[in-house]
Amino acid sequence: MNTGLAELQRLFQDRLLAGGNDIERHLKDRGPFLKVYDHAYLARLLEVMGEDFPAVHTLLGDDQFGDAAVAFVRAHPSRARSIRWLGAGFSAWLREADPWRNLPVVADMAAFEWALGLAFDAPDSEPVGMPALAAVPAEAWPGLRFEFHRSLNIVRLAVDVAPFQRAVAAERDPEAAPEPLSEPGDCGGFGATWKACRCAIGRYRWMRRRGSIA
Amino acid sequence: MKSRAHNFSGFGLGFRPQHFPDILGGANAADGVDWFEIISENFIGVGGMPMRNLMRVSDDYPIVMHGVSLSIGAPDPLDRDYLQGLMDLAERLQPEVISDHLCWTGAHGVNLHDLLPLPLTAETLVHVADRVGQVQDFLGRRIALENASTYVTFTADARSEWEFLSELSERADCELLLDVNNVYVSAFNHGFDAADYIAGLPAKRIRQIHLAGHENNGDHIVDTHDAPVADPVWDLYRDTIRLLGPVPTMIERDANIPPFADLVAELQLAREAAGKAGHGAAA
Ligand SMILES: [Fe+2]
Repeated sequence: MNTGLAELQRLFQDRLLAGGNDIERHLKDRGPFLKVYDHAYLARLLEVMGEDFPAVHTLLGDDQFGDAAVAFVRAHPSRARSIRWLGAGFSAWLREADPWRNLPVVADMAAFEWALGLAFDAPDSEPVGMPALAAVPAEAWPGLRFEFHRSLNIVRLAVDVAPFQRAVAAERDPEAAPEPLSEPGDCGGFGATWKACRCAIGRYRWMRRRGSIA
Repeated sequence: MKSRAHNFSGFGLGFRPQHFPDILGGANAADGVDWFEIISENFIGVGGMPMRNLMRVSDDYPIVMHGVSLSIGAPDPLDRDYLQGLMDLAERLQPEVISDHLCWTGAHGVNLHDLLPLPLTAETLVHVADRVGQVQDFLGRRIALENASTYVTFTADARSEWEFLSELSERADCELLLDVNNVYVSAFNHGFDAADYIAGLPAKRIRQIHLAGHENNGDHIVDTHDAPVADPVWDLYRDTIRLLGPVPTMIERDANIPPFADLVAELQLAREAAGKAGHGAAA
C-alpha cells in the first residue's frame, strides 16, 4: 500500500529540518537530486538572515555569522508566512544562546537592525499633527488617548551600536567596535518624521530611561 | 476602484523595488513593459514607501499578483489570515491574475520557504482540488497555479505532472500559469519530453507564462531565476506560443537582478520570439 500524502510530507520535512533519510525510499531512484532541496533550504534562510542583519554579519565575520544563523534557524524553524519575519527572534535567541550570550553587542546589534527594518515597512497610520490637536476643544482634552505611530519601535540597548550600523549601511568600514553605553538606554526607531519622509533606513533617536520621547 | 480600458496582454516584468525609479522615473521610462508582476507576500500587511510606490505603478500598469506561500498542497488548513491579506491586496490593486504554485511549503505550522514537490496521486489530486475550491470561494475569483521546477519524483506517482495539472484545472476550475523554464528544468531532471508536457496541458486554461534563467550542473538543472533565459528555453517558448497562440509572458528574475534596461531588452527578445512564432504583435 502506498504511503499517504501527509506521511510523505512529514518525512520530507524531517529531512529538511533534521537531516532524516526516511523520505529517500519513497523517491524514484532514491532521489539523486534531493540535495537541491537540502541545499536550497539552508542557503535561502542564510541569505535572508544576511540581508536582514548586515551589521551583525560584519561584526561577526562570515564564519561566525553563518554558525549563529544556522544554529538559530535549526533551533527556530520558521513559522511565519513570509520569510520577512524569519529573523524576528534572532536577537532574543542571541541573548540566551552560547557563546553569543556573553557578547551583548551581538544581540544589541541584531535588535537594532531588526527595529530599523520594522520602521521601514511598518503599516501606515496617520500621524496627528498640530492642526488636528489645536482643533480639539479644551474640555475634550482629558479624554484624549494617544497611540504611537505603528512604525515606532523601542529597543533596550547596552551597547552603542548605531555608529557601527550606520557605517555598514553606508558601505563604509566601521571606524571602531561598538562601545558599551554608560547605562542601558532605550532607542526608539520611527519610520518617518511622523508623516512625510519615512526614509530608507528609518530614523531613530535616543529616549529617556522611562520610555518617554526625549 | 480602478477601471481599465485595456485587456491583459503583452509582455511584463517582475516589479522590483530597486527598479522603481526607472519605472516611474520619467516619460516612457518603462516603454516596452506592458504590465508588472508583484510577489504578493512582499506587500501583504506592509505600508510605507514600498506600498506607496506600488500603488503609483498600479495607476499606470496592469498588475498581476504572484504568491509563494499559499501552500496549496500542504496538510494544514488553509491560512485564513493569508487569504484575507491576498484579498485586501487584490481589492487595492485589482490584479489581472492571482497565482501561486502547485507545491507545498511546510507542514504542522512550519514554513520551509521552498516550493516542495507533491506526490502525483489520486489522493493529492482530491486534496489540492478541494483546497483550490476553498481559495477560489474565498477570493470570489479563479486563481492560477504554476508548475514549479522539481528535483525529485515519488515512487507513488500515478500520473505525469501535465496530466495532474490538466485534471486539477478541470476539477477545480482554476487557471494555469505555465513556467516554460520550469518545464524545461523538470524535463531535464526527470527525463521526459518538455513538448509532451506543454502539449498535454489544456491550452484554454493557461493564463500567463513565465520565463526565467537556470543553472545547468551537468546531471541536473537548478531553477535559479538569477540569469538570462537559456537558449533551449527560448526554443521551447517559441514552440509553446506556436501551439497556444498569444499568452501574456514575463521574465522572472529574483536574484542577481540587473539594471532595469537590461531586463527590458531581454523582454524584447520574448516579444521577438513570439513574433517568430507568429504571435508577436497580438501577444
Ligand atoms: Fe515562475
